[in-house]
Amino acid sequence: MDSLVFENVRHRPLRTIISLSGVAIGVVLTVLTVGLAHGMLRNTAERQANVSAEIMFYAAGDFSPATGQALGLDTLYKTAILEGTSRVQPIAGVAEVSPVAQYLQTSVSGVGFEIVEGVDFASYSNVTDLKIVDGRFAVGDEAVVDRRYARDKKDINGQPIAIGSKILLFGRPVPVVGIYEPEIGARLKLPLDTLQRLVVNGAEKCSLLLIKVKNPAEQDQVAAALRATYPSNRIVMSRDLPSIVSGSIGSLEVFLKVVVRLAAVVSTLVILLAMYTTIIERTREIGVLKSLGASKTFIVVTIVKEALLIAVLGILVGAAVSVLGKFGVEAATSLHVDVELKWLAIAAVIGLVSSVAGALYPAIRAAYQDPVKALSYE
Amino acid sequence: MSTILQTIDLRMTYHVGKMDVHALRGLSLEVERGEFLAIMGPSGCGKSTLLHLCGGLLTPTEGKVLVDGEEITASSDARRTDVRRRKIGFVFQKFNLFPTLTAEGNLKLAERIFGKGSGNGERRREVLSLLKLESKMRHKPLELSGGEQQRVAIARALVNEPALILADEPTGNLDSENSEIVLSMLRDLNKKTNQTIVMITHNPEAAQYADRIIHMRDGHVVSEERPVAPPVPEGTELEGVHS
Repeated sequence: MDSLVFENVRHRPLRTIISLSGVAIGVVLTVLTVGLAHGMLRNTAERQANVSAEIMFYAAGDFSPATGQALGLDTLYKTAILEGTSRVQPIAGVAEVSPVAQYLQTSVSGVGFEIVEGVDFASYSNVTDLKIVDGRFAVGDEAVVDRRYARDKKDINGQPIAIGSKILLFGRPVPVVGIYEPEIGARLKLPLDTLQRLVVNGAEKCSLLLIKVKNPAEQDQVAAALRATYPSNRIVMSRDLPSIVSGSIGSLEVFLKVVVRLAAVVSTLVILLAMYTTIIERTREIGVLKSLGASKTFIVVTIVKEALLIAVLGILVGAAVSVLGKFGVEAATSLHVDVELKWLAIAAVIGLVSSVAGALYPAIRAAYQDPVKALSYE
Repeated sequence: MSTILQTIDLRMTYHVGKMDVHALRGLSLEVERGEFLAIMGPSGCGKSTLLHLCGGLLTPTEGKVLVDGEEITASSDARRTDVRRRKIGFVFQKFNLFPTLTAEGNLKLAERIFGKGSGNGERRREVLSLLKLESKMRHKPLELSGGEQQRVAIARALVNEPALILADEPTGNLDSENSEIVLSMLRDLNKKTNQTIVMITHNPEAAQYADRIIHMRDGHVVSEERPVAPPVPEGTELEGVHS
């Protein structure tokens, strides 16, 4: 192809690879970071939707639906809420209370982290839509996993997980005895007492209580009674979770904007440096273009076209790496990455705009070079 | 015959530190359409400055340059660029071909700059064949000999049919055999197509190919002569060109 733009890109492979890598990094940074954030939030919301309990009861302190909490809540609250104690009355209108313990551990695959939940299967089935579709509930040092976990993860022998497979939990092989549906909370569940034994030496602790009310229309009254009786505890309505997640998104968007801007700066700087170096290397060629009668506009357009071609290649590479990265991350960890077309398009526009911005200064500098000095450049 | 290039009292002073260097000191010159003019002189006498001023690459300190009747000295940079694009073809000592482009690609680029879009394939083939480069169209500069590269550079200068070719030591980087071939082709172009050529050279033998030689010293024309043209070496005549 006898085009100065194509030939310059083709004949300077190292420069081209470095420049397009800069653009590709920008695209990957944008698409994967946004995809990871949105994927995790979407997944959290989807899993939460399968919880039919109307109220969540936490110990005092910060609440994070994405990561859960350490085991800081006494499970005796369950008895207190349902039956009352010598000091407090039972809360009227409560149908079921199920304690859930959440513990963050290194992923079974060894890459990343995952949440392990300890649940009391009998009460948990009453406050969620959980159903065992294969095998049975776990007892003692046994685990159940959801369908996706079974599909994506491997057991300690590197085989796909099925009933009877053993997975490594707290440094010991634990048999998987059941597979449940739908996805609720953590993908890996143990009996509550097993997790308490392993994490807090058997203390009667959990992270939260899931509370199902007898009449959903009276959930506000039940919540009010809980707040009145246990003022230092944190009461969260399940119906408010979407707005809590949205609140998380609000602050997340600020972080994502920073990442996107960082990606734009990286792309701009890489293209600027690459094109600036190229222009210095090709000073004599600029002089020749001028001697042939090339206008300033022609020179600027030629250099910007070269940067745009590099950007297009970088965007294609970045998009391919992002898609591969999504599958890689999801295969190796329990994280979710949503590669969204909208964000691919935004990353592409950022790559193109950054490239033009990065190429503009070297291009204008080239266009204004003294042709005689440029022709004598060695 | 009409005048294609005229300089009137051309002066050029360079400021080097606190020193003023007078490269041209009131040089007046006329070149007729279809003339082959050689400019000779020692290094630093102002030859290259004169050529750059004639091509609109520099602006003189004083004086005028007229190319095909258009004064370029008082014009804007854009206007001078336009005149250079339409009326002038440059040939350099170091060929200055684009190394990533083929011989034909170099011509196409000149056509694109001229504003011919994808250019005229027939015209490119005609010019390359005129310079006996038909078989080298797809070759890149590094795959060509010095003589061939300079012929491609001449073809590039010719492809847009400029009124004037300005050649800066076109044989300075060639051996004697290739120099003879290139000079003979330039002379044939001049004779058979009436192409005006202004050539700078240090080499008295190269200057003999011109219709007229002017000698410069210290920014002035000091003498002028009309040489007897040397014989054309066998096999270097341009083909398919009729006067």
